[in-house]
Amino acid sequence: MAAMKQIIVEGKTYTVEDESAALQGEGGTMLAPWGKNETLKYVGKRFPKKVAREKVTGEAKYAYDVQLPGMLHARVLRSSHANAKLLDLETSAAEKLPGVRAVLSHKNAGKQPWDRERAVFKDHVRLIGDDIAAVAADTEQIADDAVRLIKVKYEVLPHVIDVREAMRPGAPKLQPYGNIWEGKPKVYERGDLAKGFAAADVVLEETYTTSEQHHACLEMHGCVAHWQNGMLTVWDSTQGVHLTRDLLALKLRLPISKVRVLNEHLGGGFGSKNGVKEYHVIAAMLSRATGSPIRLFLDRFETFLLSSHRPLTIQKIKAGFKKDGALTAIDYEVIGRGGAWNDRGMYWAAPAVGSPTNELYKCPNLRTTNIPVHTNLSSPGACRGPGNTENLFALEQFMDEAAEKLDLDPIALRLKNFTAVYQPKNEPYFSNGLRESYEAAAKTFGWQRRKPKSTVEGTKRRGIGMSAVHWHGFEGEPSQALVTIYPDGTVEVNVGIANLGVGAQVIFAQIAAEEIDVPLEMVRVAYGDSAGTPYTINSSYGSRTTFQGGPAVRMAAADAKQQLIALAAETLKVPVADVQYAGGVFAAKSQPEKKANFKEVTGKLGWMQGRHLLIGKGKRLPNPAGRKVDIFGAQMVEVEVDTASGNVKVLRAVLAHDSGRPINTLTYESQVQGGFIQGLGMALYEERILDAETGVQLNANYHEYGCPTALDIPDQVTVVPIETHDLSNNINAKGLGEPPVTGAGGAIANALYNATGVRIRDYPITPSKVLQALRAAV
Amino acid sequence: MATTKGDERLRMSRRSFLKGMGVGAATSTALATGLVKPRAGKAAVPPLVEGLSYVPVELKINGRRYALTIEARRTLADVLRTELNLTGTKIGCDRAECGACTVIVDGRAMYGCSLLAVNVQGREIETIEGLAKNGRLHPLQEAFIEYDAYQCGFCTPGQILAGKAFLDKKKSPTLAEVKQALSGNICRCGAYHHIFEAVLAAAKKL
Repeated sequence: MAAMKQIIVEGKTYTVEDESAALQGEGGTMLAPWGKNETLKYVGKRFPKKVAREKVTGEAKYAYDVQLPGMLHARVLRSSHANAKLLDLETSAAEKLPGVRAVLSHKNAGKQPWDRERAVFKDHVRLIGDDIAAVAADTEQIADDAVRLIKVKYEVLPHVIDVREAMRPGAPKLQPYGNIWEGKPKVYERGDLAKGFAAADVVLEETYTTSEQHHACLEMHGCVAHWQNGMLTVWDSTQGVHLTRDLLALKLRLPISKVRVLNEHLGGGFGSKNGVKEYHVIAAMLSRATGSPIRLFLDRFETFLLSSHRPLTIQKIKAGFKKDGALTAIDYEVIGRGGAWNDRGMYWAAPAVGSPTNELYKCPNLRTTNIPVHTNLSSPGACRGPGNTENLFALEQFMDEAAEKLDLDPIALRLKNFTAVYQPKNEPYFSNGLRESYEAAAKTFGWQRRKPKSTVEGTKRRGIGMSAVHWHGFEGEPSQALVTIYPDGTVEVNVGIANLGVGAQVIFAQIAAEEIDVPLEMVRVAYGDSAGTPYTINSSYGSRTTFQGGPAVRMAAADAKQQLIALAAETLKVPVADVQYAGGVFAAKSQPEKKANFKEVTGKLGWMQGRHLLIGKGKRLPNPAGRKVDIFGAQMVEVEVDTASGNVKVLRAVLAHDSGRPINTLTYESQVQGGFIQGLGMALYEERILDAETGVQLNANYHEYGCPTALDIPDQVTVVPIETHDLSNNINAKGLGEPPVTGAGGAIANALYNATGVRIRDYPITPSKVLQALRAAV
Repeated sequence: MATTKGDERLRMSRRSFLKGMGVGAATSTALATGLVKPRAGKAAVPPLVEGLSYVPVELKINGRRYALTIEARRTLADVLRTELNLTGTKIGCDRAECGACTVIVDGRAMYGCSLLAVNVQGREIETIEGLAKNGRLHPLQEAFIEYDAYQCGFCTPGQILAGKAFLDKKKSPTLAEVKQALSGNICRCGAYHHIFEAVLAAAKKL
């Protein structure tokens, strides 16, 4: 039991776990967090990624690129109705087509379960795209032909696509409990709402909607599966080899040791490639049926339709303020469009939305109502910054509207309601760099020169706007890492992660190089194979990879270093306590002439020396109790609106982010810029447009969907790292991947208002919506 | 029908190819999955091909000649990847929208997913695998590493080749020109700023 201590935050006393006692790894190793002003050699610097050369030469092998001898190609027949029972399924023509090796459906594949309510191959489909049958053939083209030869007879049943319609009495009922997930809204409450509103001088209420943004990863969803000698090996386009491995074992009722999942390179995930989908199980089943490796990838159309997406949300915010801007009450409601099946997608549809409203601003009286609604569509999922992005796109526009009503500067209103305490649990934050973020962003951007009205030049109007950034940190699940030292002096960090491409490999290498004090070139990183790596992270979601795995890597490096020092003592024939190490040289403190360089010492390893490899083990334990990790920031943009076309162009942006200690300032910049660009896409262009009758996505392609291209990118996007000294873990990191998406919508919408005087509360802010609003405002 | 090298009738620009094929190709993909089948109970659309038609094809890729026998309907990107294991050419959409399949054909950046392999016989095809010479990276490749001009890297071969075809013709480009030249290549990770920086930096070294 770690020691507790008392700290005072905002005038109140909190009992929390003492970080110096709590930050020990398994086995009692103690590693204090790096000091605030500690000089570090490798951490906090710009280094190119470790996995680099193969990406620019085309040698990098993604799951999409894996080709095995005798590999077959699979395609899936999908339902063409949003709710229907299968009356007949005729596969004989497909089976007879030359080159076809297997056809699976509910008829011959038994009831291979998918989850508690459905089989992998359905005989009652609930959405357009549900899996009905699958074909394995010699080429993808033949598999395509064969799927077209399968005949299905349906009994069509009533369905519902529109979220409001699904909530009406008499709508087709999709689940035994009705269309609201598990029968009733999820409500979170604190304080006294009525009292809060009674105390308000100003009450404001507005409704905002956000669109179904799609992850649109360049590498489509899929895998190559090979079931051989009772062992299933899967090369997967996944964010986490361990989670995919564990879930596949569970779905197929295999021992975990009989499933191996590999991911050397991932072509985009953004939350859509965690865990398993039906296609994983289908590929495995086809491999078992044919004895051959199976390649099964969705095409682009299927990806847009089925791989999950950010939910459509309708958010109503009502809040009361004192004249000075202090919040007295918030009543928040979100309706989110979910899918047909009772799965995790229902959580992302609405319950996940709303945490910034609950947490970001100090408000004693609050109610949050989350209403996830079933419709006959595919399930939504986690999409980079899930929940917080949808919520902040609404909340940060709302705060701007409130600031205007209260005649306050938008930053002043936010500062007035600043809190250093995580309100749902009444726990202080380990660190909160929100104030510093506002300050630094404003200074870099030139916020004080903000004009309430726009500059006008012909049909072009310019304006500026800002938004807060918020993402929830984690409690720090246990995480393991290994650091192996080879006889030639190579330091190998071994971590169980996939490769999302954000640079976790170089970050872990920097941490190990820092701890051991070896040049970064001597460190390599082994990863991406569930069979050969420890459990560093189940899957890279939640911006946790560095935050969770980094402290374990540091622990493992420290353990390896201790063992190296013992080896050096033996080499130098002095006691362990007499050995010191610096700059690649081990020396005896008592006799400085006694020394050996790094490779002389590691040269004592190896089987010929009667020794094996030196393996350092590291484990990260949870954060010290009693405090919360959250991630903050501020984003500011300048836009130019063309009142003739309605087009909104972002000219420049300043992105100030508090993510604790930045480990690699080069990849940090890439992450923040990239996240902001995805947020910009969601704010201005991106939306799954569905046919109102069938739910088929009408723009299920890159051309019409509208991911930002080179021409949509602001010339200037400045990243300002805000370094808070966070004591939740031994590397002071908090997480970075997702927060940069969350601020773009509010900042852009507020800048649009500043430029034109019109509010668009319905994302994406398309030219037609802008023109309509401008016309209505005249 | 076997095709001969340099048959002008089969040389199509991407635009004319798309006019004839692009929409059809997309529709057939959707049909294949049964998703746009119009009514319940109706028979599936019959296969587009009766039996398989194989043709001999000779391709010149990165200065080397390859002789193959393939189905006539296969695209250059598919053949590079599946027959020649040149998987640096990616496929992100298979309908000329994302640019992941960009290759250089006779000095021009083109979408490999929308060229039939039979139609590019006799032409000089460059893929990402041919860019480094004798193990030495091209200045654009070096700049992409130095400026961290990629995240997941799936679009990177296409971005680099689009950049190379552009820089081969344009010395000292402006930022606006670089954006225009790369506007056919989507980077979903949003690494655009670092990509622009890398292309501008490489331009100075070429």
